[in-house]
Amino acid sequence: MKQDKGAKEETMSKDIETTEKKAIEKAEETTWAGQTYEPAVDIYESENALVLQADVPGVRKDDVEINLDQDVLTISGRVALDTYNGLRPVYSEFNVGNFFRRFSLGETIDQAAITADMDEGVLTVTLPKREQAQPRKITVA
Amino acid sequence: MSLLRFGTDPFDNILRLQRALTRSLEHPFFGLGTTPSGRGVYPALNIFEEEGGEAIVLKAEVPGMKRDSLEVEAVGNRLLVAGVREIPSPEGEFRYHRRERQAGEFRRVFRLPYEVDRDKASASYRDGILTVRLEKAEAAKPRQIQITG
Repeated sequence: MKQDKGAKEETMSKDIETTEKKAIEKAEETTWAGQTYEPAVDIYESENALVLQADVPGVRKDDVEINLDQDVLTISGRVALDTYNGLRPVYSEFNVGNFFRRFSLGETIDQAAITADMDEGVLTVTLPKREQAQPRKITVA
Repeated sequence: MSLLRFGTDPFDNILRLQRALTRSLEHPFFGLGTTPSGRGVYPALNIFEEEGGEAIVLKAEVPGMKRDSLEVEAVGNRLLVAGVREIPSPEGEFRYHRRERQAGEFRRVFRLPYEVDRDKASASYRDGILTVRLEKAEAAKPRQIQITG
C-alpha cells in the first residue's frame, strides 16, 4: 500500500507554470519594509499608445501608484493584508509582498492622457503617444 | 505558530505576514519538504488555519481570471483547483515589447491532511486571489474524550 505522506501532487497537466516571484534586491528602490516583488509585465505598442499590463494579485485599485517622470515610468502596488487577519500559516509555497517596477520609455508620452484600470489583480496602464510635430512646409517667398 | 493579528502600522504588518509565511515554508504540518520558491505546478498555494483549527483557508495568486473559468472542487481529502487563463490579443495593429505573463490551462489536485465537509466548502475570487475555505469533516475535528474508567 502506498504510504500517505500528507499533501502531495496527484495529477498534473498544465500549461501555466508557477515561476519564482522575482524579489527586488536593491532595498533603496522602495521605502517599504519587507520583501518587494517585480510583477510580470506585458507591454505592447499600437499606433497611438503604449499599453502596459502587470499581474499584481492582491492589490486593490486604490493601492496602486503610477508615476511618469521624464521618460521613467514607475508602477507600485501594495497588497491588501486584511484578508490574512486571524489566520495561522500552516503551509506555504510563496511569499506575499508589495509590487514595484520601473521602466524607461522610448516614446514620448502625453502625460495628461494616461489612463489606468485594475481588474482582478491585473493593472492596465494606457500611455497615449504624444502627437508628433507635424512637418511644416516652409515656402520661400 | 501564532495567529496573524494586524495592527495599524502597514510596515509592521507586511513584515509580520512575510515572516510567518517564511516560517511555514518548512512547517511539517503537511509533511512536505518543499522549496520556498513554489516553482512548478500552478497555482502555488498558501494554506492557513483558522482560529480554533476547525477550518483551513487556501489562497492562490491567480490574476486575470474570470470567475466562470475557475473550477474548485473539494471531495474527501482532495482539493482540485483548475482553470484557463486567457490573455486576449490587443485589437488592431500592435507589437509586443515585452511578454512575461503566462496564459494557458492549469489543473492541480492537492491532497489535504484530513477529510473536509464538502457542504461547507466555499470559495471566493477577488483582486486576483482565489480563497477557498474548507471545514474539517466531523470525523476529522478534534474532540475531547471523557475518561470514564
